[in-house]
Amino acid sequence: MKSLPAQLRALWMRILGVLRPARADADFHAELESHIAMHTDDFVRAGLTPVEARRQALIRLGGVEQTRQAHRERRVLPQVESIVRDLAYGARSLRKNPTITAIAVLSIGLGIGANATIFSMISRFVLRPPPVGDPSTLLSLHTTRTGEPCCNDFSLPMFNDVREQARSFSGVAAYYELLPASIGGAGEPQRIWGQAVSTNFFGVTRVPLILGRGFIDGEERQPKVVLGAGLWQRRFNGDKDIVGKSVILSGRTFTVVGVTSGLFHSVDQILYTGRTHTTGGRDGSTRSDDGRLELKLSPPGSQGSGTNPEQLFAAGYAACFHSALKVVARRARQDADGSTVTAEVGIGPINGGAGYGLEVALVVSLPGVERAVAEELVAKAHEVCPYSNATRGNIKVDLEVE
Amino acid sequence: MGDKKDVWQGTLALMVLKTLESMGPQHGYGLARRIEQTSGDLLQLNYGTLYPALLKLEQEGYVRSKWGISENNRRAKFYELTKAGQRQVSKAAAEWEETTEILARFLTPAEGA
Repeated sequence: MKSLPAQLRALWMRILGVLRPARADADFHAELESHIAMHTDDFVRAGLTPVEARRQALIRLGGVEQTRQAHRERRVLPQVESIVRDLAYGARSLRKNPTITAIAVLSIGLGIGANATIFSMISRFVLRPPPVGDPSTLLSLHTTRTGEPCCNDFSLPMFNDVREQARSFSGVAAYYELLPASIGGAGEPQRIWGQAVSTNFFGVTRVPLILGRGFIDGEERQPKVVLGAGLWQRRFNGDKDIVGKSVILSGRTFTVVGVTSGLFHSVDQILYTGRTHTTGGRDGSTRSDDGRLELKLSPPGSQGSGTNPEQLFAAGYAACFHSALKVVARRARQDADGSTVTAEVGIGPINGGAGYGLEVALVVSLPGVERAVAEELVAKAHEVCPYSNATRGNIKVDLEVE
Repeated sequence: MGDKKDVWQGTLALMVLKTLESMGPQHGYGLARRIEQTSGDLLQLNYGTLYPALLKLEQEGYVRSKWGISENNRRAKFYELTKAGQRQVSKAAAEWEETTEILARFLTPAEGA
């Protein structure tokens, strides 16, 4: 967002702000008074009595004291003492309570570092309301870094502090990003995705459950699991007596305590859903439900004029990767103008002919940057691009910088 | 009228810079009125939220302030864009356009599952 010098300058000004608080305070007080006076003038001209005019001006300002406080906080360094206090508190409660939750092990991001200042930035779920009790009351917490929203990777001690000390919320729950697991038991092992959450997650989000219950306090370290409705239907044929039964996830036995309603996948958002309809297989046609895509399909090497799934995959992957590349380049302040991505998708038999697999080669051209930088950007884009994330560990993907 | 939208910090900073760029030096009250007007009254901010934002911009060196006399003869603190501020307006505006463009791609197929 900003250049480093601006941030450093702001930091320096704030250090100075600590040194001469009285003068700055008086100056801002005068500025506010002048603001209120001007606004009052306008209201008077609009026909209000002077008293009512001043009252309205104060209301529109949002309170003199609140404004002065916000200004004061911005003027000086962020709450250094409160950070120290938080750290001490975190250390204390950790010592007192070594029962670190199962999530803790995963989510301890060694986060109380430089950028984990304080949890002030709150962003609403903006796009589609998540399938929870009352989306309008649900907020996601982020830390800020020099006033800019930053990360939501709270460490466990920090999460505990927020949970115990933040009075603005009726509850604070944590979840960890998607975790892969293989589900065993009856039938073929299958790769599924899950999420580790704090025990109060279902209480806080009020995610509806169709069977059983969510987690309860004290179950932090116990192998308990709540199944999504989709998995429950697919894998367990919608077994109504599933609660209390065991499932094996990545070789460990978990006890099912509940099943969520069909809507729930995660509180994270699906931003956009693309939908296409295909008829006739490799010798047919495919179209998207919004009519933007309409293509004929023909087998590769045949006389037909249509495209094929390999070309479509190549086009999709290249477009996805290119878009990810531009995002990471912009973040790194590198020039992605004139860049191109060429994708090759090969298909061939795997598992001794039992099925077919794909392999991908992406050739990236980034004429605006040095090779070493380009390689770094490509590696980063590979972490961002959804196609890369979907295929990682499954198929061979070669990256090449031209 | 639609909903009054909350203003979040980065956007507000950009609006302030842009307003100063097009209108020249302004006092805080004038800026607040102007931003509200420009947004077609879609946006109603607590005027008080403007001041921490202005302070931040000043700390970053994008604006500077000095006391002067308002059009109605009141003493008021005026803010103006610095050179760095002018550069920042074009940079931030470009970034903003890019962001909205990306978001628009997600949102325009007004088809949600």
